[in-house]
Amino acid sequence: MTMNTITSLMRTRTGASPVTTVFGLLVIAGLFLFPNFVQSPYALHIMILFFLSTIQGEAWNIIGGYTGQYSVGHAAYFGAGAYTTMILMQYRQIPPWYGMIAGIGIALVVSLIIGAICFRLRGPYFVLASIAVAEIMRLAAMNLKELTNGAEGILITDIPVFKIGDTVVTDFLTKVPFYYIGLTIALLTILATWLVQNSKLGYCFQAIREDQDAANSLGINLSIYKSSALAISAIFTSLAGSFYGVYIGFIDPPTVLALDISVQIVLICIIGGIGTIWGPVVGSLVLVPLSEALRSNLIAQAIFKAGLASEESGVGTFLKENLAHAHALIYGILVVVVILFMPDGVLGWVKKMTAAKGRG
Amino acid sequence: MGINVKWMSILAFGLGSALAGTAGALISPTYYIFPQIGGTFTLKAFVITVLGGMGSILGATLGGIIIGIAESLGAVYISSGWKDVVVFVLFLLVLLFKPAGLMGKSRM
Repeated sequence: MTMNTITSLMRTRTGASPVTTVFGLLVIAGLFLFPNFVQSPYALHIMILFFLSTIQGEAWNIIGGYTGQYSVGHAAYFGAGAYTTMILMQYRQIPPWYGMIAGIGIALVVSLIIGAICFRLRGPYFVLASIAVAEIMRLAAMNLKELTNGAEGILITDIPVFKIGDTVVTDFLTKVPFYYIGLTIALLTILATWLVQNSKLGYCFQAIREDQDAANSLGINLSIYKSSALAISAIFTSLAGSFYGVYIGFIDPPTVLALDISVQIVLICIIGGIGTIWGPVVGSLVLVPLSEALRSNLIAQAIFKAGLASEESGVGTFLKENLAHAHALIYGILVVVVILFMPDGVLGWVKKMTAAKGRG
Repeated sequence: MGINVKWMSILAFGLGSALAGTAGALISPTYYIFPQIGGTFTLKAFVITVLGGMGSILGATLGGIIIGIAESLGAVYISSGWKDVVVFVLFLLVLLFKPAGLMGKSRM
């Protein structure tokens, strides 16, 4: 990388140029107006999944990308948010916007306990302790049947109407309110990441990532800063969990507390690019449409449309019947390919390609 | 010093995998098997190593026995759903009070 590209990267990181600012504002305005033009519930659903995945990725990025502590147990906070909100809403009739705050509280407590235990140690302890805590929470949710309804999960029957004063703002009958809530939380999370990146706190996090001993010798208290990074990360992951629970309307231990969820959250960052603000956004842009396309068998249909195989032939029937079932397999292979050939994620790869083009 | 680092790490990884494979073969007559069976054992293996102390043969043996007994006692006296929780809580307690493990040297 030449000096020029480094300085240009620095410039976009600290003070964005007017063109990027205007472009960013236009994108945000476009996103806010999106439901006025597109009424298709499926399109809105994909966008909501995209926001959810962005929130998860950005949240993990604060502890994994900026502080360099790889947590593979973020399902614990996701599940804490989801379960707290859903239990309070279904069994205590407390509206989800208060439940969200309670969920954040629980996730904060869990994160501080994990931080206090693990951050005195180095090496693989944190990764494994984070998995262990997520597993404890999953097994607890499975077994505390009176509280969490065990493996049957919690199905919400109706969401209380959101009122300010006496005027009804929304009754949550369509996907549109969820779209705006998801968009708002996603923007807040990106803003928080930006603030973290450009504050003293963020510089301390990045110093810890680069060299713990050097950071320590400069007077940075390692365990306090690592714990605060984990706490910030837990807050937003828990918000994502609450949002997921209320939006989908059903949660059970395998869908919000399993190890798959933790891995999924890490993948969003790894695919997009670790330690950058736009990495998780790019990761979500890649992963969400990909998994949806595989799940809904769009690829088999594309092959038929392109005339590569006819729908009636043996190969065609095989593809039609098996491609949708194999979506997890194809997804996994693609992820491995991305990790092998783009070690800095898609964003890092694009940057490298544009830099190489600028040189050549 | 003339040690081929890459070859040695491949050898160590291979030996470890071979031993794990042997353990899997030995457990198959008494345990039900399914494609996701590895997951539960991966974490448990690490718990045992940390409990005994990294890099100690006696420690790993001792850790294995303690974890096995704790798991079975947990299944009998608490409930079979909670037996893995017993193991993970034990793991967190070891990290909290004796991170070097029972037989290992301190690595703080």
